[in-house]
Amino acid sequence: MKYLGLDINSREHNHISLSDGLFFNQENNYEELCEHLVQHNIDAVIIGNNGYGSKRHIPVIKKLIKRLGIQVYLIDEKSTSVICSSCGFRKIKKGKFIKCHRCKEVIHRDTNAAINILKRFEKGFWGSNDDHVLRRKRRKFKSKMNSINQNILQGLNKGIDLAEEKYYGVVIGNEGQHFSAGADISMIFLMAVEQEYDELHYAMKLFQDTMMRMRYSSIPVVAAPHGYTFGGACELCLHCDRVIAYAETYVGLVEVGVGLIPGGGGTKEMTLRASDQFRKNDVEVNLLQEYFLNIGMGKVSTSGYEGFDLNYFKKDKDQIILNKKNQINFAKQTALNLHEAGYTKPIERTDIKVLGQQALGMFYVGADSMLAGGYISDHDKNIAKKIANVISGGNLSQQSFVSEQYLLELEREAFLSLCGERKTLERIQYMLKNGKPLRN
Amino acid sequence: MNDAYIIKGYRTAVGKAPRGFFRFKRPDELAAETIEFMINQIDGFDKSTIDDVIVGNAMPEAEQGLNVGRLISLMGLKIDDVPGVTVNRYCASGLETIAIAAAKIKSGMADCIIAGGVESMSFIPMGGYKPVPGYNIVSKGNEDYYWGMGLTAEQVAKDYNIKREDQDIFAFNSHQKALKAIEEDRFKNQIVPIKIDEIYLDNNNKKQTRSFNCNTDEGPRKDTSIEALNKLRPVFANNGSVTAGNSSQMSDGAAFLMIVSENYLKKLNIDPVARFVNYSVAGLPPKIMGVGPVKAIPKVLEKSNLKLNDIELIELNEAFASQSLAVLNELNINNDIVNVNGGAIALGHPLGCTGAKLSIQLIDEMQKRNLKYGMVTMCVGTGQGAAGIFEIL
Repeated sequence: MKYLGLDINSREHNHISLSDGLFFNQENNYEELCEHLVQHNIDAVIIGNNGYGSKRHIPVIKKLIKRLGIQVYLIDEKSTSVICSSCGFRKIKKGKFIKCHRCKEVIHRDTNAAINILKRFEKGFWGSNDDHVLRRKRRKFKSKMNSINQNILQGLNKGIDLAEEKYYGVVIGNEGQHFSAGADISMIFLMAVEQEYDELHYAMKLFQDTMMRMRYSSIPVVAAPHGYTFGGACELCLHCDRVIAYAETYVGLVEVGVGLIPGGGGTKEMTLRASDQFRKNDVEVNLLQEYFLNIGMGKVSTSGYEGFDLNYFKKDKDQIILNKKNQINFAKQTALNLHEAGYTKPIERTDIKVLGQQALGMFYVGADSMLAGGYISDHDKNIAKKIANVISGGNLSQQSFVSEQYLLELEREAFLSLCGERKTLERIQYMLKNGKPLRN
Repeated sequence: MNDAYIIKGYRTAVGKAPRGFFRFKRPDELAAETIEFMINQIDGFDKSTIDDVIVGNAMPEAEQGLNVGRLISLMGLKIDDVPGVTVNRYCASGLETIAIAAAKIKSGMADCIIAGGVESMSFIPMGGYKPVPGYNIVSKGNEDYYWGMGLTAEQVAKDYNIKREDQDIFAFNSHQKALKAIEEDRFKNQIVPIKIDEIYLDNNNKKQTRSFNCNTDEGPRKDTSIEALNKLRPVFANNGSVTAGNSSQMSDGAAFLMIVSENYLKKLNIDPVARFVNYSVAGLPPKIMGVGPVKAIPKVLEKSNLKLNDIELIELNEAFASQSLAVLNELNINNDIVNVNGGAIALGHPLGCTGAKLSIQLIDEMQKRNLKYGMVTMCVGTGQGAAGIFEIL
């Protein structure tokens, strides 16, 4: 494979610089560029994307190059022109031609950038790839509190597809105030109100499939949550190979607050994690109860560390980082390490131990006692029963081993049935309006 | 028909659970030591003539699991000849064992039986280690079969209009009566002194041994007051009225009685203390198990041809103040003859042991007061009530 880096200088009539040292300006109308690419049998071109100046020209160039049958990748070009391309020294004097203070090399600024872009790509800076996904999250869709909607899910899928082809891994993170407040409930609300249950079902399936895709991809997927990491975002973290969480992370499955259950694989994942903890001769119900209460009471960790206690993070795998500036970088490094250690696609689980009626009975009694004590409402009890049904694998008369898909199906079913409840819709509406959960 | 006579009865002091003086004392050892003490009180007693050891226990698992009755018969009597059985009717287990023993003796199946109960709530939590409610029952809306007892107490308070203030006053009185009784040494004859040896690591990680004698009930609190009780928060329900202060305490304890036939009395040449007259249990909705005695007391009175006025002393197990008040109000029982030396709110409620413990307390007190008929009654989990009548000879 032969790659070429490409830098567009928007300040100088969109001059194009290539990493092999050639320049093209706009008067050439890109024809020479195309010829050059064909002559040198280039397989892919990596374009540095700074997001604003060259916005207009990138699509044009992209289209042209693609027509030649050459792949085009966009990559974040941030700080590519202030790093020396030969020695990586950071502070070099600004100007048209730059001179590195360390290795004394003199090079045209744009060529330097183009080489850096290529290097960044070859080095496996998949970060640019996920930035690509997240930039869409942040800028293009501008969803409130980074909530996860269908476009972001498709973006995630695309990112993983791309990464499987070209990169070593995927890092999911952002630099907003909060990681994400979860799935986009306004969409769910609209679909539920219009009774478009088929579409809702499709949306849930997409969510679940995306989560499963993250776990069962051939590349390591690392999440870097910080701040609010609620509901759908928590589910996203649960399905990553590693989580590099900022110390100030509030993670939790809070769907009960809007009258739903975690429908993107969160309930399944809690069942799976509980099942992994079961040991011979254990009283399994008591252990499962912890995981049940996580969801049932919408427990949120007060810090990244508490995420381990609540079993949202895995003790032997996930890590907490105290330096937020270094978080994404560390996550990238983690993904690289995973790749270098020989990451392979995991095998889908079919050995999840569910307890069936044994657990279901206890959860029913627990929910009823809470209701009788006046701690929860009727609808809470209803939701608790639905969670119990998923987490104990339905009313199986014996302990059984089930697959993830079986649990996901139960989860979807429960989610959809709750979407048809008036009280759930009231809760969602109240949340959208006031930003606070409603107790009804 | 034969009659069943009680010749001896002893109980341990009741320790608080889970941090009282019996917190590391295994329930089987506790029971065995009680039985041993009781046997030693009768001169020249032939242990092998005992027909059975019946042990009441409300949570027969873990330390008190595996037919603990048989283990106690082996440990307490130190011979192989006497069998043992475990009986469970929750809080009435102790009384139930006395009734079973009496029934066996009356029908001629046995001549001498040791009956009683033991419970260590320090070791085994309420409800046991693995509660597994039946899905088929629960899914039909009968979740209340498995409710915690606190919730049923709240339900009784609601259904029978028992106010929080009354409950707190009742609890306070229970403590005062118990403290007074302890001051006057009224329990002295009943209690088996238990010596505890504990091996522990001190602050320097050195092995140390400490031993102490347990011969006074640990439950009653000198520092309690109605104001203090009023301040406690309800523990079982939001905006409820049942608090830790007006509920019975979790406790550890053991109590055993020796019940014999008339022939055996003659053989032993000993005077009986009391006669076991009759015993009844009754069922009612599990949601309001607290009012069980309301159904059980008339039943047992009718069977033994007595009236409520004939009963001169009553030991009503104070599972909760709300439930006790409901029973007293419903049956119009004279408050002055109930729990004269304090009840379970002050003295503790070691589930399976309570029936036997209350019987011993009742018999002892009636002897001191020269009374004839007395009754032990209690509410029982999952909607039951039990009542037994004793006659002092």
